[in-house]
Amino acid sequence: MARDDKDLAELRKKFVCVRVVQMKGVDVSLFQFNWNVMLYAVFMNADGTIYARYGSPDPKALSTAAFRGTMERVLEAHAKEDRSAFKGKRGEPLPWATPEAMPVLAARFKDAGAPPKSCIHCHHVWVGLIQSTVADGKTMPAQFIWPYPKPESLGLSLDLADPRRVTAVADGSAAAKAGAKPEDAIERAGGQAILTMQDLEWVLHHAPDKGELAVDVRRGSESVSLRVELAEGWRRSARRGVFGVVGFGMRLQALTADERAKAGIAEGRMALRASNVGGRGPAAAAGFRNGDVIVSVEGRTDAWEDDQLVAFVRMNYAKGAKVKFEVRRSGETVEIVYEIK
Amino acid sequence: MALALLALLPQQGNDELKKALNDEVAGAEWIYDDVAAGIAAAKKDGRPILVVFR
Repeated sequence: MARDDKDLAELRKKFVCVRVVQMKGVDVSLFQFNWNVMLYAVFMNADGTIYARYGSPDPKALSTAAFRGTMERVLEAHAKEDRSAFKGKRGEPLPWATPEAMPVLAARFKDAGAPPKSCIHCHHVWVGLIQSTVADGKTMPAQFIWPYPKPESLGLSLDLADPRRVTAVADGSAAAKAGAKPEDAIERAGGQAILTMQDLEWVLHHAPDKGELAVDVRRGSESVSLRVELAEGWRRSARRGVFGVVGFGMRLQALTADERAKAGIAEGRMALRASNVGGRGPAAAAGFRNGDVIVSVEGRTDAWEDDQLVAFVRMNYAKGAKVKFEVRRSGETVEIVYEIK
Repeated sequence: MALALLALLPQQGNDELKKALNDEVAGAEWIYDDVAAGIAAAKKDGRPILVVFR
């Protein structure tokens, strides 16, 4: 394949192109996106209006064709004077202006030496934001636990080449109940113009934990307004298999029915097995061991999965809180106190 | 521990898109690590701005 896509090269000339290699000095209130990726693009106006976002942790979700389509749509939007549909694409200002102002990153990169060791990358920003928020004495918002939900969380499958086009609607999903249909073209969501899949993910990232989302679609020659219900737990499709920085320093996995039966833990009760308890990590320091089965946290015994337990603790308990767990270990019940640090 | 997690995130991206962007050389077409310069250029000639983070 030719190194330089000719169409993309022609389109690039219509943009001022900036490449950011490292994040020091970058205005992270302006450039808010899924920092947990290795390639991301933000399209904007010189007045600070964000037109569109493009990027994904999944390489299969990216394509030159989709990027080209995004550029074309941005140029169309740029040619219009009315930018009201792009207003919500700027997030609320963060507590820290730049990554190096985040306390956790400031400490880490202060004496890191010359580049590349001293370079702050996008994924550092995500970790720094989360850890600095906790260090600041705050609980985590749902967005840290379940960041950037995909359209599938509403039951929508979108065309990767033109992500405004709905290719399928899952039966019984929130989108189906709202009346979404295949071949609908998403024009706006939450009042914002949708040019890319990441634009929709941005809207979902900021959508309420429970409520309703307005989605305007074009269906043939008609404009149709849909009201998509956001039921409790809708964000969980954005769960990640490994919790890394929001977790406790261990992996948690729900017991199977057979394992429950052997352990004598009834259905409908909490049963999460700990593994990957790191030698010097917070879970190990608190006293967790590989194989421990968590059966309660602060008196709650709900049959949660790992993300639900992590969310309960992280969204309700801040720095300094001592969270009580009960675990089954070798047939005995052991209490473990985990201090949020 | 948490800082060690910074090194655990997998390498991701799309090789095809990276090649198509042709952004590996700073110079005439790509401004490197200077968003302010990009904004100034866009204010001058009215073009929209493409900022690639990678």
